[in-house]
Amino acid sequence: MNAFHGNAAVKRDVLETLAGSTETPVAMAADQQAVLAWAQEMGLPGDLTLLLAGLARHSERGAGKACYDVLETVEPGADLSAVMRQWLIWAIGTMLVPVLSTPGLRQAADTVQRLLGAASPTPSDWRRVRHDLACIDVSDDDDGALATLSAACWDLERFPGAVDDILTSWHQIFNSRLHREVEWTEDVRAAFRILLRDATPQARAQAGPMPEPSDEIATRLYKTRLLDAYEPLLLAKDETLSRRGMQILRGPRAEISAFSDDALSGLVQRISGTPSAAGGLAHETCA
Amino acid sequence: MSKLDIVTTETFDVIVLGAEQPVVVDFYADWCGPCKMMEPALRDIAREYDGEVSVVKLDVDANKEIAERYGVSGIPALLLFDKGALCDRLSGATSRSAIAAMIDKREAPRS
Repeated sequence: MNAFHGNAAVKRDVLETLAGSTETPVAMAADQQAVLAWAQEMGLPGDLTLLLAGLARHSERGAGKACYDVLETVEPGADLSAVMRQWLIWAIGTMLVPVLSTPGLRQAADTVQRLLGAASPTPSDWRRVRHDLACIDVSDDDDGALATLSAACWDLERFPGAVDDILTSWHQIFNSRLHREVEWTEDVRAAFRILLRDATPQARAQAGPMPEPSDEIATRLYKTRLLDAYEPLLLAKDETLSRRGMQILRGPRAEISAFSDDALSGLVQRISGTPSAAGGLAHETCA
Repeated sequence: MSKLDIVTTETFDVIVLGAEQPVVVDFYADWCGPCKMMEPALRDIAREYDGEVSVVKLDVDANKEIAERYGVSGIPALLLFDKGALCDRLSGATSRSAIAAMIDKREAPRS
């Protein structure tokens, strides 16, 4: 597949749409099928486009600007079909392996990286590695990392939707760490749930009408309004418990944003190593 | 893109319990957002295990007795049946790999 169908005018139109936009553009924010349809229209690989949309959504720069910055580096006509796998090899090596605490999981990560770098893995190859991963016992700290490695073991050209699983499980790593840091045990969770239940009618009244579930931007804004309404109501009841609870509800947003921006930088580097239709730069070698 | 087959109370015993190969049943409802999010993953699973495992959907609102029979109290819920028996289940929105792991526990991976 040639990026932007080899047409500089297509790239220019895309960048013009993205310029100045701080929210995720409609074609990249809607459901997975809409993103994939848009990717095909633009001559971009589906897996790579889902990755870009998923990372950009959490960028400090805003989704539109983050998408712009990445797509600006894409040469019309470039073959980006290997970029997603190259990015995964890099991301696992630089961002996942350093945080692993289960020794056997490092070896499993090596295996996954080798599989991603192989010329043409068969469906059986992917399945065998997934099966082996499912048999590994990991510490609670590594649950998210194991899920991320398993999510990466799919033929992403056939199953581009698995990219969403990769990002969701990667976020789970940050969520698990937060749960440990605030000592979010079952008892604490149950106590906080009672506080939340009692405050809900008042918080909802303050937050205003609930949007349609399909409206992603409005739903996100509503969630922020609702959390803002909850905070003073809960703090008035039990400050220690509520501070821990609000931390969990708001999630590790700063960490996910930092991860997303690092990951986007890595993506730009992988794209920059991709040859254009005219020849251009040499292919990056897979590990 | 092919849609997943729907089973009902009337067809459940034949299509699910009477199947010769394992069947994953997605208990869902039209109003359930996480159930909609699961749809692409389930379609991928159906493609990946084509010929080995069937994936079907069951609307819990229209088929309450089946949901009650298997104790489905929250959705989405994925129940794996093999030769008429319930073998395993997953609750909540989940990943392709988690569904695949549930299936693969039933059989050795292909060589």
